[in-house]
Amino acid sequence: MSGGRALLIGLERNRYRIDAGAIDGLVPTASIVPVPRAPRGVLGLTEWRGRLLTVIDLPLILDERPNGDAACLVRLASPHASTALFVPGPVRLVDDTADVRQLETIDPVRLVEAIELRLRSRPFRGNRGVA
Amino acid sequence: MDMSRYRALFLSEAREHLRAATEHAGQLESGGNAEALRSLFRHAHSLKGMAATMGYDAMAGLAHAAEDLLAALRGGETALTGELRELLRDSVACIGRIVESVEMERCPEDPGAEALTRRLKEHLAQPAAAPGAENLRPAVPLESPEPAAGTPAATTAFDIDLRLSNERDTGAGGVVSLLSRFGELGRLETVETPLTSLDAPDFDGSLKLQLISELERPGIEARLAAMPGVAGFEIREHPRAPDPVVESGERTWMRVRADLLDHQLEDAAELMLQHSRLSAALGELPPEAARHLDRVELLVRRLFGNVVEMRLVPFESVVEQLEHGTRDLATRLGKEVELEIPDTKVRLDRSLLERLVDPLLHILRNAVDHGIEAPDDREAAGKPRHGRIGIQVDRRGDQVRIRVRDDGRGIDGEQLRRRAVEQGLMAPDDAARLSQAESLLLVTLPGFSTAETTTEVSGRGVGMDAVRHRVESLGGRFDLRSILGEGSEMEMSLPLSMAAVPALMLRSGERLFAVPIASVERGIRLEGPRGRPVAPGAGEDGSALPLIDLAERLGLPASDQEEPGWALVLPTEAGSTGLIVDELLGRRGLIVRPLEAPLKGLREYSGAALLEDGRIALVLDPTELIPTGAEWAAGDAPQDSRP
Repeated sequence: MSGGRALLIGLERNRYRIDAGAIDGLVPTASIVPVPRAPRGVLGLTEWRGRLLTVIDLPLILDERPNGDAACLVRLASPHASTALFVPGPVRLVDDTADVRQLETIDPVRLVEAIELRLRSRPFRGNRGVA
Repeated sequence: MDMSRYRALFLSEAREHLRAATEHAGQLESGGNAEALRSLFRHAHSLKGMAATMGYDAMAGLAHAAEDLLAALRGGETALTGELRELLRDSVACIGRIVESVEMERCPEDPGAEALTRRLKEHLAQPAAAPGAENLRPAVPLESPEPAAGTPAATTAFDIDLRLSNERDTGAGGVVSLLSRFGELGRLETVETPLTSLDAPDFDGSLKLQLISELERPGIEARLAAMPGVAGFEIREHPRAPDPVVESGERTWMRVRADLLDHQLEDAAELMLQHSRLSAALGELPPEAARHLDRVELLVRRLFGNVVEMRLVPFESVVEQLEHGTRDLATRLGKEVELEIPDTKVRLDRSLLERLVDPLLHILRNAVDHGIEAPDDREAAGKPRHGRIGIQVDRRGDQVRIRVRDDGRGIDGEQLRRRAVEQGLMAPDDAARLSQAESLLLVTLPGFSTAETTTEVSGRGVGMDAVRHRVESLGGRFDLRSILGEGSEMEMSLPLSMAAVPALMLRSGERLFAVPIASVERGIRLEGPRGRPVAPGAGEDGSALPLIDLAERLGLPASDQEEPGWALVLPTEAGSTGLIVDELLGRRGLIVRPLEAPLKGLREYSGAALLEDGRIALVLDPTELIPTGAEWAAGDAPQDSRP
């Protein structure tokens, strides 16, 4: 378990932390445009202040479920400032998570890499979507 | 690049804009209103862009001059006189004649275009007379005289005390709008009155400015008197030590961090987007508010243009790298090669140029390795011992064309066809049908290689698909020509900057997509039932046009639309293929943003764009959507369009 300033996320089964340095801020959810042929885990694109953000479906990646009605987007820090995590559950920024028990840490950079890997390992042309 | 195939598209769109422009110009003549000006401006703007894309300079220049004048008319800087109405009508008619010439396949010019362009520009330079100053005419020529080569124009500093009239545009916004007009007079060095005080209730309406100008005092005075919102002024000529930089005729330069410029471009693009959204949200405005909003639009567009311009760097900046790469390899291979790049001054978007270095190096390596023969072989073939590779960079409208030509042995299309069949990339029948040009493009098929020519340095073919993909992902086109025994030429045509890419908007199911116009041959309205569409008159030779459904290709649910929709005809190496979509939604200039990680590797799209109305359009990369010869052979072929 690691401490330090972090964003706490509560989904249905578990609580998670993301290091505060890895995120840029919270963005209200807006309409998300799906991207056909995108790898699993990508919800789509959304606009935030005239910029495009790629939205990652956090519950899907974590095999989780939404927790309550509240949802927001967590915008990642550079080098993934154009990426946001879709978080359907309460979030809270805390100064120290050392005392919080049962926390799973999410490393957003690795998360993005993992999805990218799915895309790269896909045989490009042969693998058609099913009509 | 063969522009002729875009001519039809150009013509159909140009006619539409012309019809509307003629109508609005007529409305202007019969009294006219702000709405007609606004519409005419939009059509002139579109016509300019289309003409520039096609390289029809006379038309682009004329439409541009008309657009600028219309912007000034809308902004109130220039008054709409009877003479101007007539001039605008004549200009629209002249553009019409040029379009006609294009249609008749004649030179896209008109004898009247030059004079009209000049007259439009002259009127643009004349500010509207302020009330009570009708008789004041500028005492100096209005076009800033071009300084003779080598002799920089002398400049003078003027201290100006400006008194603003009571009817002036209130607040800092109005003053800033006024100050922006000083750009026509020279460089505004300082504004001593702090801009923050302009909105204060006790602001007395006086401004202290310092202006550096090439004009003389009477000229400045005349223009200030004619400036709306100016009630009075006092001018003092300011003794000024010669500016060494100006004296030497050079510009001053400043280094700027490249990433700051990237952010700047993003911000400027967003500003443009937000402005059009604001404009749409506000709807019909009172005339004064509309005037301010128009002014904002002009400034925002200028700002965006400036940022785009700032990011342009000369081709020169990569020449050394290219020369080095070529020389190095030639030495290693014992070949004598001369690299010639006659014009290195053409400027391209910095990030675009950066992304072109690798493909260029690859092409050069190919040329040295496979194109240029060994000195003895050359001599035997009656050629000079040292081979030549030339890189020609030129600008056509908002496109840049880069051609790399070598005088080596050329590429054997016949041999490539044979290889493609041997490697199972193509059926023998399909290969036999390929034209010479299409055969050459086989080297850009992924996985294609020619055993005879593959070496450790650069297997021709391995990597050429990457070159082509890179060019096309940047919104460009790649072409290849070769004459056996005489040499080869690779041509890349690209948009000059990452600014607006002309794109065709389309709908498939509920989804909105865009495709760069440069990669579409034409659109055909399909006939017959949805499940078995027919493309009427598709193949000019009577052959069927292979069709693939975009929805199916992207794994989307099949369209429930009853009408058969449209086929976008996309040229591919193996002939044309029709991409079935539900609806074509017209053309738009899009600022295409590349997809970022984790979607970076998603090759179906070259990026995405935000629209004014808040929607997001995915920009399709047609080269990635069409099956290759290999897939056709594997039974993955598109459906047939024959009834």
